[in-house]
Amino acid sequence: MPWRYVLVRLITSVLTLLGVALMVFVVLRLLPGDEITSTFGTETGILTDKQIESLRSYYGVDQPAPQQFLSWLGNVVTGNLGLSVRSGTSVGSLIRDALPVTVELALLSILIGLVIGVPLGVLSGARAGTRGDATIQVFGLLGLGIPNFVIGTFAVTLFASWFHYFPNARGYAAPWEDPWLNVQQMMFPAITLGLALSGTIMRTTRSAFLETSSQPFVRTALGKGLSARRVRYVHILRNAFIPILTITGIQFGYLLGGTVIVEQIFAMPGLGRLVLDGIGKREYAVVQSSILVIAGLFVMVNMLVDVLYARLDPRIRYQ
Amino acid sequence: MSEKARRLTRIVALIAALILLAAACGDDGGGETSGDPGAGTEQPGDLSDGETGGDGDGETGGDGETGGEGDGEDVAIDDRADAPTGTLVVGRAADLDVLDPHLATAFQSVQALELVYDTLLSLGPDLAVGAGLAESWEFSPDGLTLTMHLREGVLFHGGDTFDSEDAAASLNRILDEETGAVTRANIASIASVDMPDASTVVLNLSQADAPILASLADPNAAMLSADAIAAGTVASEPDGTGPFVWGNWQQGESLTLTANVDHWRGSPQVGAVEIRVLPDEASLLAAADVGEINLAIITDPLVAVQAGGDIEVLRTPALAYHALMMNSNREPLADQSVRQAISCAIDRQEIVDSGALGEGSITGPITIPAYRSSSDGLPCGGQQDAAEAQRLLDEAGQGDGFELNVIVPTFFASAVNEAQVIQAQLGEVGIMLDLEVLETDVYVERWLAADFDAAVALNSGKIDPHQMYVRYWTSDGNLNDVAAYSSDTLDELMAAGRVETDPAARARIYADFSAALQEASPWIWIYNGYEYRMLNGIENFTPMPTGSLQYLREAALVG
Repeated sequence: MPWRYVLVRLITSVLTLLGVALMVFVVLRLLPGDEITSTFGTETGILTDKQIESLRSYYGVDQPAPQQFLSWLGNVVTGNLGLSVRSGTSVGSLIRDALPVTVELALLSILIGLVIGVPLGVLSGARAGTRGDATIQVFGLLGLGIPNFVIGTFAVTLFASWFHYFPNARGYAAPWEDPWLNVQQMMFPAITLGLALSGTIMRTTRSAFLETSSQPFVRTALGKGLSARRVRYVHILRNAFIPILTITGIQFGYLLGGTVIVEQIFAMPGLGRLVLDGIGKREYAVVQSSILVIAGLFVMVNMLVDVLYARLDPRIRYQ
Repeated sequence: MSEKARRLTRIVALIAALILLAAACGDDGGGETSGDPGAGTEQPGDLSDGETGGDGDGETGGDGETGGEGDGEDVAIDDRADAPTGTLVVGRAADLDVLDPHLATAFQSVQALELVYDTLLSLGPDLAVGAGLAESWEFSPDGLTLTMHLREGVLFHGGDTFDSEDAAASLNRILDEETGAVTRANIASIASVDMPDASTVVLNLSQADAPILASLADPNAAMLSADAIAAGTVASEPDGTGPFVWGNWQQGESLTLTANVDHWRGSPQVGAVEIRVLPDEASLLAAADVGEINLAIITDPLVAVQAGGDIEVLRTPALAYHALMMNSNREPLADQSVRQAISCAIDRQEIVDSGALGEGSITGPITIPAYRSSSDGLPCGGQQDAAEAQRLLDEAGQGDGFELNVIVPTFFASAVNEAQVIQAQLGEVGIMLDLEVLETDVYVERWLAADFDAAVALNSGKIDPHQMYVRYWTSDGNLNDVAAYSSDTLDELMAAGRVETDPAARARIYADFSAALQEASPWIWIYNGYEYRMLNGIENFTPMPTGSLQYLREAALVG
């Protein structure tokens, strides 16, 4: 991979992140209310003008917006992601705690999605038009269609009331503290997210498989006398993998910030919840820095996917 | 490049959607129509009707762990032989958000901080004011001086001795506008604080103020150490004199407090209390059911009614009330007959039944047990009477009906249901409601600006009727612009209640106040719901009319 290409990618990535940072900053300021009204609610009306003024300076919202942005950005560049004023905790340490939870959950969900989705997609594609294909397609639609809060809440209620089993109630345990409890806690949310993912992956696999199957090299391979199974899983699947990889990369990026609902149901202290709480409380620094981290990871995953393209398909070259 | 551009668009769209979504459903409780501690609430008298959860379901369960097991993560406690052990686990949907007790207004913050801090006075289970860090107190005959005698030998967790210097510094900190303390308004009659000796503080008042005693028992009037105030560590290192010592806080996950075995009331019965956050109330209930949580705090009646199994449900009337606020500065609501017509057209019981599964009881303005409003003064005796409503509308020249813009919040589960029931009921007499369902911060903004014809609201109650309504129903109250109604009668009654110290006489004053308010009908008080405490494996816990968890200091684990 030529250096020039890497350099260009890096520059565009930085510009992307800068754009994200600016947009998040603006959108947050456009939302009604600030940290004072979100703290005090209607009690804000009881505060004297002088009290409000002093609270504004306490929460750091008394400066003009451009100055707030630049001072936040300046801090971020030097590695200081800001402060959650209310709790006196640094945003850096909040993200440090939340990030591993989210990444672990996302990886496990993707894994489950791939393990279920790819074989089903191949099976479905190989039997296109049959009853088996239709059954698998229905499963895929269910996975896509049933909201994860339904699956999640159902799982919690079912296992808690029937089997008295709800590991997430014991408070989140990191894998390095209690690996066995951690696995149990990750299991349900990962399955909940993985099921939905498997629907998407199955459908992508199926259509990529069908498209690839119609190419001449497949007929050649079969004509050479290779077994149908070998052609299916080695030749076709390998050539159909680019779209599957693309969708997986995108879904992974989505999972970094989009697992909020599942994190709520299963009490997982991940990034999504950090951002959601931050928005609810109008803790600007928390939201801005967390989203910047999510966006940074998203960009990195995308770069990784591009690298993998070239590994999977030697015809792809980057100049 | 087009692929890159598409990806960029995707990222941008994802983030925008995320923010909008989060803003739309972000109700962390901080925005309640009163972030006031006094709102969440239960009434001791009603403890008796806390049912033991429903039918025992056949538990298929294998290894259901029992609560308080502690999972070997018990906090290091005093190694004395008689030191209490075991960790009591409290579960709730939101974490505390502010560590400074003078700034904390959200229930979840106050509930945690008041375990760590004490106040000069305290509240009993029936909301009667009793001794706290002040052992005794007396007003001067003219009511302008309040002398408080402090308990001696009380230590802060950090080791300092509590004395009059700390008390004065704490009160002055609240009074200082720089602090931004909401409770300042409640003790603003303090003109100065004297310290004749280390165990006495004298509050010089600018006017007689009977309800200041209740205000000094409010957790927001916490006693801090003068050194911590000077050092500026209040917001980051909680150090109080309370029954529990601030321990380990994993923001958004859990807070562990350890027993203060030297507390002046005596040691707590458990070694530690862990307050755990499970954001989804259905999951919270499941966690209580499996015994991982000993005390779950539930606010949504839709979830609470599903409690069963081993859970004991404490269901107690809240001080917070549901109301339809009207803006009497706007036509045609400026006409008292029109407001009374609306009051007559509404069937309060139907709103409770259809809007909130019957989980609540009809109430007037005052929900405090000792002062609870009767239906005196209510138009149509509080019954639905469409004919009378129509007659009143005709009388006001509004017989053909009119349209009202109603703002509806999203921070409590039943708001939209209630609004729709009211919409249907008023539709019967030709009053058309245009419902505007708003995200919390938008609602608060509109509400503070009195930018509505009417508002569906859940307002917090307070421990004293004066505190509860002086802001709304006196012509110079901070929120009188929002309440949009005042009268000489209400002003006089409020002023009388402030200086009256005899409980029976005060009760009469507030009964008159309540009747006058209901007759004028600037708002329509509908009902107060319940606060739910789901218990499993815990005993001797007394819920408070304020929603307070202070009796965790007496609670013990079962078995």
